[in-house]
Amino acid sequence: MSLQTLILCRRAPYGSALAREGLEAALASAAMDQIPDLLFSGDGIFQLLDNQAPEEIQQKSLLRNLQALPLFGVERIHICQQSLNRRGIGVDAIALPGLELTLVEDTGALIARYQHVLSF
Amino acid sequence: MALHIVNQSPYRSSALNDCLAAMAGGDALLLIEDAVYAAGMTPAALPMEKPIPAETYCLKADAKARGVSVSEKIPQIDDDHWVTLCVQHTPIVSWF
Repeated sequence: MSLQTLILCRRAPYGSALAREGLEAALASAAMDQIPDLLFSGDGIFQLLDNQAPEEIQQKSLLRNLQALPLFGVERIHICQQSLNRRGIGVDAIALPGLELTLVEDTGALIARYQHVLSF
Repeated sequence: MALHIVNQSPYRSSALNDCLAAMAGGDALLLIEDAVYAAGMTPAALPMEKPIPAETYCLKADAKARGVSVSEKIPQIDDDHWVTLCVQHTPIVSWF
């Protein structure tokens, strides 16, 4: 049986509204009992970095939305290993309590398992 | 099999490169809007790390509008054919 929905997060957090909209879509979907999976790839992995201080640029923290995911039933996120490698970022730079981080080597195989993919 | 749809020029955005990195064998690729420029270039002139896959389509109206001469290997399709591709593939993944 194929899984329902994958939310594909490819944007850095504060440069555009897309990162926030992706997380909001995930939370809204989960609130309607359609718990999605999330894949962070490309610049989307910058959303996961610890030590963000967006109040410096008068923006609201996106990390808070990420931390809310487990409260809505999203307990695991997928992260593209190659995107991490490209940017020289280790998993140790990501601290998200309550979320299980799954590193994905073959994103194509992951995407193929879903009925719907929402891109942000 | 998935249908991947890209709408950005490969020279401006990483969308096509990211898409190619996330394609599984047998997936189809559709180039629309500014992504049609990728359909008119020689492989040597393309900045992506991987070549475009065997099953790649290009939206004819977008290519014609931009004066792009599309490689003979890439079928040019109309909107009706696009709908058919959407029906034939699951999931549909947009890259922008």
